[in-house]
Amino acid sequence: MATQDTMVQVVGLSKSFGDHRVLNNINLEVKSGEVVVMIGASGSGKTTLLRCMNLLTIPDAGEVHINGEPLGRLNKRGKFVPVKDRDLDRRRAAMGMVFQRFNLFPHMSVIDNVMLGPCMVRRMSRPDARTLAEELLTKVGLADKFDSYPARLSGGQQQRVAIARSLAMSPKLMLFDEPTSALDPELVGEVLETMRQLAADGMTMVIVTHEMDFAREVADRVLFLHDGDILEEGPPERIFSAPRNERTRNFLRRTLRSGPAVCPASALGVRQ
Amino acid sequence: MGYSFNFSVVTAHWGYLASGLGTTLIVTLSALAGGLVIGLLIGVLRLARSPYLAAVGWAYVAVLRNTPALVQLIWVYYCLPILTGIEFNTTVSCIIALALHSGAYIGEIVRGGILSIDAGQTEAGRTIGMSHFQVLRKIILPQAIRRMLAPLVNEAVTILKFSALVSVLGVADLMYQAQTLATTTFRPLEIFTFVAVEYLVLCAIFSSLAKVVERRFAAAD
Repeated sequence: MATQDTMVQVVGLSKSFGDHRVLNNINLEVKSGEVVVMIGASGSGKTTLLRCMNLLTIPDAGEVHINGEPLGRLNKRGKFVPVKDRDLDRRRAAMGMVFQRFNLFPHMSVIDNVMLGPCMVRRMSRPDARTLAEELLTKVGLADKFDSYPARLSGGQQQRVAIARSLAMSPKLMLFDEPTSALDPELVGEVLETMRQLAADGMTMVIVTHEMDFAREVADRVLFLHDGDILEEGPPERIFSAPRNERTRNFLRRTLRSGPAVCPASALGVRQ
Repeated sequence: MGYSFNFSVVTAHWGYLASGLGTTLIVTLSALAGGLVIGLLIGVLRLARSPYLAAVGWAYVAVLRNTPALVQLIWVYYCLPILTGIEFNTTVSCIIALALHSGAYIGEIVRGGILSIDAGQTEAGRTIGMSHFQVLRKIILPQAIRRMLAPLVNEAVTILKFSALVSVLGVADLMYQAQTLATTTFRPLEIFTFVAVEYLVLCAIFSSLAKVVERRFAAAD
């Protein structure tokens, strides 16, 4: 960890969709430069927690601070109210987000996708934005795709454009929502490689993923979520090789190709 | 049938009939232009986060879609000057009425077009720090307009046909010229058949123009 300042601070965060409680009084701190990976079954609340960090989902109660600035406040009835739109836009601009379904803008070329944020939000001149976009696209290995349209790219290439689009805003924090889940297996590697580079560059990252090998390799800390609670957290070596909680053990046994060390050999029989 | 058609009445009054064509086109195109502006506003209003603004949009559509166009036309012509104190000439009144009318339908087209765009597009725009309005202008509308094209052509053809209603107020459009000519020459069959064909050809031209634009858009994808 480069520094010890806090990048993300989540305090007492709760969220329900109707009667279904998705997040249960969550507390979480992410240090600057730290890579945190959230794992857990679908429906465990990990994506919702990630989306609460930039208010794509608005929590019911609790606090979210990004780089020391609150994203909202509690009103008299204890309900979460986001900060003013303009302040929220400014804070969001300092956070990148990469989606499972890429969400590139299909009516714009690759380079325009990357230039849009710098031009519209940072008010950068077009030549400057173009230089920046070319640099970032080259970095993610797409130097030959500037003028292509997203529909002409493979899923892996689209996801790398999406990463470049986020990086164009010089974010202090990157959120990844299952970035490889919509990809064909042979395209997963190229996206993970890009993320690996980012982590090596010292980017603060919060990642929701099902790629356990990647989590083990890149994460500074792994969180295991179950039914809206963080049941277990710790360094990847410990979580993957010696999970303390039984639910974590069960989850890893079902997910990992080669079961964790503590798994009895018989667990291999239930893998898919 | 013992009736023998004699279309010489049409050729003899060619210039007179054609003079209505210009008025029909002016009324139609101006009403459409106005309708597009109103429709864009109403469509966006209906999707506003504020429930009050959304209610205004909803009420507009509810009133304009559930009253006959002919009633709206006559209401704008007789009542609007009394309420506002501003006198319009008849043609302008008609254009205003048809624009208000088509605005309601175009509003629904705009709303549908915006809603058809995946929510992930808005999320992607907002996460790079773009404002609500910037996302609408740069990301949502450019994509939505392509999907709105076909229903908009439909609406254009509808307004072209509705424009015949303005003859009721004495605006000298295609229909009005035809009616006048029919009463003076006693040849309504030939004249109204000819007018029907004129509307048919105009509408067909509108539709084929749209096909060209649509193909251009499709090529850009």
